[in-house]
Amino acid sequence: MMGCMAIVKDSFYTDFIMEITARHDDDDASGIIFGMDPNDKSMFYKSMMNNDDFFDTPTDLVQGPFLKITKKNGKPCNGTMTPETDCKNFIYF
Amino acid sequence: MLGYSAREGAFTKDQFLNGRLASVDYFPNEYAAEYEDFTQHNLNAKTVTFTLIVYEGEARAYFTSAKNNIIGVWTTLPSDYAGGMVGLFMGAHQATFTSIKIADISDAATPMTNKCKFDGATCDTTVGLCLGGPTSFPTATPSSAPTFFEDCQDPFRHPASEYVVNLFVS
Repeated sequence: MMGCMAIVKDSFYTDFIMEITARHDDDDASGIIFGMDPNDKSMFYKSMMNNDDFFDTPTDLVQGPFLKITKKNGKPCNGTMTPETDCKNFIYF
Repeated sequence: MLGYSAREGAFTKDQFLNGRLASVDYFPNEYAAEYEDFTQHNLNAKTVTFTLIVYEGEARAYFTSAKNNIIGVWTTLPSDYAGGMVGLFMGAHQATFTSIKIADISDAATPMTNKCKFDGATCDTTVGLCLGGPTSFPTATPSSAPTFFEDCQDPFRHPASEYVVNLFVS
């Protein structure tokens, strides 16, 4: 699941608190992006909450529902990823 | 305050239902029951306030459920974490984000220091208190705008930027 992102322009944070109020019309994921490399915006951390019980075979082996923190690792994201080719490193859930 | 008092101690790891630095390969069934509160927030257009705290190499992400339980994770970030840009993520239908607040809590942050002096008090940084200040309300309207200086540091307050972003994806 790739999803969409909206990034705050020209601001950089290392130690911070970010708070959002989120609402959506289904049980899929939303969350906060952080640590995005301004020189390579494909590299970032993602903290997300998800209430769906997908996927049957998640590449990071953590099936929903979850609250998870991941980090992009530079590998391409696509629909055929395996745990070995996953484009993100699982940090914690 | 966004839920992190004095940078530590506001929440203990025991309050996080899945603990800290657990090492399991699969999402265990017993955890699913703990996440039951998670179903409270985003079905049928319900809302949730989601908070992420990153400080000194640790990340805490949580929300408070309808049952007033803290549902969250607390972990150590990789050693090469260097900060960066922040933003919103959505992989859901018709997501709406409101009341977005970001507070820089790094040592290099410019603290919101002017309120103490603006109120006519003296900021004592050794104790973190505003001392003195006016004892009564003014009786006359000032003839000119007040001036103040950002030379007093209040260690418990930091600037917060607020944004409102609505994302609609079908």
